Amino acid sequence: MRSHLALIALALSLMAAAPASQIQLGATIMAHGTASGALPCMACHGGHLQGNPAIGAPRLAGLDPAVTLAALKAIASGKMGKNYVMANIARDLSPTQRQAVAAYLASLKSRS
Amino acid sequence: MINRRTLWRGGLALSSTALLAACHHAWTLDAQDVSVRGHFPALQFQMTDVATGKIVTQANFRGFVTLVYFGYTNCPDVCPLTLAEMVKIIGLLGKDGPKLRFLFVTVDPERDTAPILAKYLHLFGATELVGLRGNAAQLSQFAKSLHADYAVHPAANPADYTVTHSAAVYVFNQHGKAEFICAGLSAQHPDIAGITRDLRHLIKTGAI
Ligand code: HEC
Repeated sequence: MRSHLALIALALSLMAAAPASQIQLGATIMAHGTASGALPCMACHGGHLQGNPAIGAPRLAGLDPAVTLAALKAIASGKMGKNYVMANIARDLSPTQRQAVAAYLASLKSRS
Repeated sequence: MINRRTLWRGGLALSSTALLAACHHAWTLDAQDVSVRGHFPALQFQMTDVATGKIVTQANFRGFVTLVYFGYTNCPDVCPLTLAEMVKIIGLLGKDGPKLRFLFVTVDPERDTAPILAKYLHLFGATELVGLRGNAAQLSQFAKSLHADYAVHPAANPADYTVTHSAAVYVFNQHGKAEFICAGLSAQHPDIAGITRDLRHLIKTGAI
């Protein structure tokens, strides 16, 4: 229990410690994609990353970093999702880019 | 005597072939590009430029190699892919890039309002992308002139709202004459280098 709490505290402090440059990189990827060819995420997930049911692209704003990273991994490996463009994007993102995306999404307030 | 004459004739024939070869017909298009010279009418339309709200026609694009694509912003795959590949090509064209315009014509004007389409195209980050929106008559006229098919089946549930459209990119020269169709931009392996080569040639010479 105690160690659990400590872990949570550690996780929270790590989250809070996401450097501004990382969040900035995440924001850029969301709006404009990556040079290596990942599409602008907002094209499908919406201008506010609120999701777009017409495309089947879920809301991303406010996602917990662990959820984002796990989802990208599952999509890249073909275990999740059915959109081939999204699958190619997940495969294309480097570990640094994934971290940046996750940090940025977490920095957006989730709609309650 | 006869021999000499034949030789001379042969020489003439040869040199005229050489002349022909030196003119624009020598260009071989990339395998993913298909010539439509003489088979398609010239560029002609009237629509609203979603970035400015102004009515534009083919006349506004005189002097630019102009590409036309029919799509919509709620498109799950081929439209954003085509746009992303196009932006790559524009980057590869370097200083020739700004001599091209890519017209993204929405086939779903009901949902794609001017601000929505303008914002969407802005994401892709190339000023050469132009969003066009028209009323039903303007859209159908433009699409028909290029034999482009599209159909919109509205539904209350966004997941059931379906839109179909041809995925080709129509390429016109600086004078609005149809030159070729890019069929490969949303293919599994688009030949970006080859398409770029064809577009650069057209930008430089004004014809394929
Ligand atoms: C072509 C449309 C499209 C683009 C562009 C796109 N996505 Fe997606 N994304 C989807 C769809 C559709 C899903 C749902 C899973 C599926 O069907 O593949 C999804 C799912 C996700 C998920 C899983 C969310 C969850 O809670 O399950 C994440 C994370 C994600 N996308 C991140 C991104 C990032 C980061 C980018 C930009 C680098 C991006 N997406 C660009 C269409 C897109």
